[in-house]
Amino acid sequence: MNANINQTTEALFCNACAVKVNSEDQFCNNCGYPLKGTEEEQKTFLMDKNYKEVNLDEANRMIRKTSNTLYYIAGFTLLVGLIQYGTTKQFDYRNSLLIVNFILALIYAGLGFWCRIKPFAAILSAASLYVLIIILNAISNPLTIISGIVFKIVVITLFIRGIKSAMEAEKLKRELNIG
Amino acid sequence: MPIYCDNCSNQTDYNKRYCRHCGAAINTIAEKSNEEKWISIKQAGLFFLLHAVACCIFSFVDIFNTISWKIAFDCFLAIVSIAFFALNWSELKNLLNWSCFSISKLSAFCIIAIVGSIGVSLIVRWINLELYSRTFSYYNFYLPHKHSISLAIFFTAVMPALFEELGYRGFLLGKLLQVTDTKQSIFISSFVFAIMHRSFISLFWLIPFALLIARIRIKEKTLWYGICIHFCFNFTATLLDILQYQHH
Repeated sequence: MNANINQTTEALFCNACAVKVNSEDQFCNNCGYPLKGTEEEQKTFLMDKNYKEVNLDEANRMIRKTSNTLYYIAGFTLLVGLIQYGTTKQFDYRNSLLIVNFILALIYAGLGFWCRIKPFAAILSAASLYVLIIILNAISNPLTIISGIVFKIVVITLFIRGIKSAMEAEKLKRELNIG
Repeated sequence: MPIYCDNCSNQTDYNKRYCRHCGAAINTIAEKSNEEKWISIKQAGLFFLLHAVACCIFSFVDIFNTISWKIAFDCFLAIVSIAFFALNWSELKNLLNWSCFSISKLSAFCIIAIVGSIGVSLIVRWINLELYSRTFSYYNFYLPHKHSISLAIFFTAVMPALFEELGYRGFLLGKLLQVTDTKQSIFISSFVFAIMHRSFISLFWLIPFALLIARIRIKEKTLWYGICIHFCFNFTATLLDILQYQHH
């Protein structure tokens, strides 16, 4: 009698995700945990879940790194804008240079912030903007490709890894039923 | 709402993610693997690069700044859009249907586009006067040619409306939808569309404009409303441009 009561109270909450379940359910309908499965099945399920959570942490770390990179790019763009403003003589031209760099920095910073919420859209947008700016500069002055080429390659590699991590994180979140 | 599990055919709950009898995942749309998604992204990236390089070369290399080169570049962009759309024909062909055609909806969209276009033209004119103390005109570019008005209308209203919609709302948005959720796809395709115009001031109205068209395209499942809106918008802007020129 006592054991029976214990069993029903145990079965009321899922061991893996602590959501309320019915006592007659075979599986948790929130996370798929085998409520009535063998000990080994339950162990395998929890290990798999744990593994996915570790991967999700890893992906989220990469996303944060990309977000920080976007902030750095924003700061760098603003700095370049101010330097160009200081060194350019023509009044009209230097004003528009400053405005363009200011808007660019604002977009990068905004995407960097948004990266924490919707990483995939933010990183892919930032990457396309970054590549477009490189192409624009390269065509108006081909020498700009070589200047800071290591920096550019590092940034683009980071973007690519960020996009892949964002895809991975989306997939894992869906599988773990969070977010 | 009760439904039946595909795996064990017991009754289960619609709003839950797993069947409580057999543990099978329910209501999961056949999802592509990350490798397939990455291929989609690369394809979209190639489309972006081709458009970006062509647009940048045209606007920054002076020898290409003639009408015949403009026509050549526009044709190139159109061919790229058509080619990428055709490569994904089986997935995208339904977008060319116009099954729920509605005159009232179409005219409402067109009126919004025309009003928006007039508003944006006035604001852009004011900004250009404030910042650069002069106005910019796309029409000036066609002026030396004897059919300047029809050329200007064809190359700023008809061609972009058709092929930008086909490329960005058709191909690009379609590819992104395979990779991520609807909201993010709409944002990315609109952002790319806006930055492709290479003018930082116009980002402020191009992004909302593109977001609106992309939303309509998702909701109505057809490209034609977008093409009409885009045409009305550009056509009004071109007409204002021509009128302003003839007034002076």
